[in-house]
Amino acid sequence: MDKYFSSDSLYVVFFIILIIWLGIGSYFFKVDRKLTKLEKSHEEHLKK
Amino acid sequence: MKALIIILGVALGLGLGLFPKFDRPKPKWWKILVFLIMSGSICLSLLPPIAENPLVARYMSTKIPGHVSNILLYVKPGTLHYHHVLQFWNCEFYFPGKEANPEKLIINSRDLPPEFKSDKRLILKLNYDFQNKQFVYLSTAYVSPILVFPFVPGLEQQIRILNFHVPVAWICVLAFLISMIYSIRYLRSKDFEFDLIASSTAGLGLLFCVLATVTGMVWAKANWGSFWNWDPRETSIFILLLIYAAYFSLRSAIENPETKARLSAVYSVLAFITVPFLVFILPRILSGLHPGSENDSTTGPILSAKEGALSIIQQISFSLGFATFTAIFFWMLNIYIRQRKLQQKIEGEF
Repeated sequence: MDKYFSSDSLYVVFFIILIIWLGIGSYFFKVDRKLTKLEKSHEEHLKK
Repeated sequence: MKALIIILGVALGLGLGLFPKFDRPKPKWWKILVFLIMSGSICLSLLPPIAENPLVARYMSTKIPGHVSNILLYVKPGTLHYHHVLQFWNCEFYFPGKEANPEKLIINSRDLPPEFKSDKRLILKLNYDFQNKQFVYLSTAYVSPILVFPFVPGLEQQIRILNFHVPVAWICVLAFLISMIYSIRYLRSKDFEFDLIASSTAGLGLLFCVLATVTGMVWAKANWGSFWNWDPRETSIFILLLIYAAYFSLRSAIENPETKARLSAVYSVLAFITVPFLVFILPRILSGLHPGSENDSTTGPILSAKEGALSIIQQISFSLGFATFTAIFFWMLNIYIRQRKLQQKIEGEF
C-alpha cells in the first residue's frame, strides 16, 4: 500500500474519478434536457 | 463544531435537493451549482497531501520498522547547521497550534535541496532511525502545500474514501425513509403518484446501497486485507440489499397495478422497520472490524470527540460530500420520476 501511494498513483485515481464524474454529470445534463423537451412537446400535443 | 459542520452539509444537500420539488424540473443554475460542488468535493477529498507530525512518525516507526513518513516541516533557513559529508541541522518541526520541538534531521546528499533554502512549508519523506534518534531525509514530496490532511494512524491515505462511502450509505437510509413515507401516503390516499415516488426512491436507495457496499469493499481491501470479511456491518448491509431486492421482485411478480401498489407499500413500511436495526443498532452491539463495534474502544474518526481525529479541512470536505451526494440523489430522483410519469402519460393515451 505504501508503495502505491508513494508512487503518486493518487493523481491517477483523482483524474479517473474526475473523468467518471464529468461523464456522469454531462449525462445527467443531457437526459434532463431531453426530458424537458419531451415534456414540453407532450404538453403541446395535448393542447392541440 | 464537527457535528455542526456535518449537519450544515446535510441541511445544504436537503435544501438543494428539495428545491423546487421532487417532480419539477430543476433550474439551470441548480444543476451547474451541484455539478461544481461535486467537482470541488472530489478535488478537496483527493488532492490535499497527507502529512504526519514527528510524534506520529516516531510512533509508526515502532509499529512498522523502516516506515516512510510524510512529515509537514516548516523550514527556517536561519536554524541550519552544516557538517561536511552528512549534512544535518537542528530544525523546528511545525506543529499547528503547539510548541515546536527541535529534532535532528539527516540529509544523505552533499548538496542541500534548493527548497530548503527558502522559508517554506515542505512535506518530506523521512525515515525515523530509532537507534540514533534522528530522522533520515529521503525526498521532498510537496513544496508549499495549500491544504494538508493530518495523518490518521491506521487509516492514512484511505481516509479519503470516507467522503464517498459514508455519504452514499446515508443516502441509502434517506431513500428508504422517503420510500416508506410515500408508501404510507399511498396507503392513505390510494394516489398512484405516491406509489411511483415510493418505488422510484426505493430503486435509487438500492443503487446507493450497492455503491456503499462497493466503496466499503474497496476500503476493506485496503485496511483489512480482503474485500469481504463478514463484519456485522457488512452482513447487515448485505441483508438490507436482499430485503430491498425482494421489494422489486414482489413488484414484478404482481400484474394488477392496484394490488402491486398496495402490497409493495405495505412491504416498504415493514422493510424500513429493519433499517435502523440493521444500520445503527446491530453493528454496535456485535464485535466487528468497523469503528464503533462492541469490541472497539474508539468510536472512529467521525464520531470521536478527540481533537484532531478529523481536521477542519477534512470536516468541511466530508460535509461537502454529504451535501453533494444528497443533491445528486434528488437530481437522479427528479429525472427518474419525471421520466416514469411521462411514460405513464404516453402509455395512458394509447
